Amino acid sequence: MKSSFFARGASALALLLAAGVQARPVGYADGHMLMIDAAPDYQQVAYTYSPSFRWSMSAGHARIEAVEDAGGNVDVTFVRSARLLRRWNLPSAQGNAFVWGGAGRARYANPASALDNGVWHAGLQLDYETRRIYTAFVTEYFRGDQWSFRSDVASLGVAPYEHDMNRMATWIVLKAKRSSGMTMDETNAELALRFFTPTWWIDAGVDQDGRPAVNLMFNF
Amino acid sequence: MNRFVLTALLALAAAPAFANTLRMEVNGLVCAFCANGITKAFTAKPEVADVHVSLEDRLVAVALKPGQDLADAAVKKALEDAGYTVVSLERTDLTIEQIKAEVARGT
Repeated sequence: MKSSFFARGASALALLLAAGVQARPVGYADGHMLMIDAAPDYQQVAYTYSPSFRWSMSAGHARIEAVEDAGGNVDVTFVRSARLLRRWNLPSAQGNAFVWGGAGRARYANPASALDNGVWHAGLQLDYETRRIYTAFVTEYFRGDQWSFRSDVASLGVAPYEHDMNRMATWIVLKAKRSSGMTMDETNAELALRFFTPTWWIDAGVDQDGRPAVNLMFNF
Repeated sequence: MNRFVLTALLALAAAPAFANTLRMEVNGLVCAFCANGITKAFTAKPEVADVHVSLEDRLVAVALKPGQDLADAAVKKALEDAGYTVVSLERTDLTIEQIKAEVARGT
């Protein structure tokens, strides 16, 4: 009983922190990004500032609703810093290797909840894209005092046409996710439609169980 | 004779001392959301009148205001800070619209 109790809490925290990493964890020099995630059972707002194209810092707040045994909603405030390890700029393609680390602090609707209040995490992203194909692999590791959790996501995107600065991009993205840790070990798939222009980005997807999720980002 | 010399001097003074547009071939241009940093970086510079970024043509063109200039090194640094690699840089008297037309013709 206790392990599943912690697993649910760990999953909630990990989900919230993992959901904040979309597209590129580092933008361009002096770039600001506002990100909003929404799903039936969680919402998140995060702000990222990139002093240079090599690193960024983020802060955010997230809420997951009606977490069983946590007495209701769980609110997480987190900070994160990411670094671009290597970029490959090719004539018609780009590849990247990013790493990041962060920490979050959780508050529970039931103050007597025995779930961990703090969680640390670290991640790695490798991606390669052209204007027609997008591939990415993201692995993240989360750790609290009483649990650890790992998430691996492989993404493959295909664009039906080549976008440009004055033509909105359209992508069809398939994600395979594996989550493991505590009593949990599951794999699932998500299909998303992605649209973006130079200043905004939207991902709208649904997983194999029919759960929808939307991710919005704004560049400024 | 004096009028001729004066006219010649005025013509020389009016002629730009440098090409007015910087034209660059750039590697890594694949995502408009990410390349927004190029537009932002150049429009923030007081010397710049206009910026054109084309993913299709791997092209960045920067039009300078009359009488203004930007050093090659500063231009390359702005693109590198945006996360891209400059393959070549040339100065031209063509306007951005003329460059677009030239690229469209495939010349």
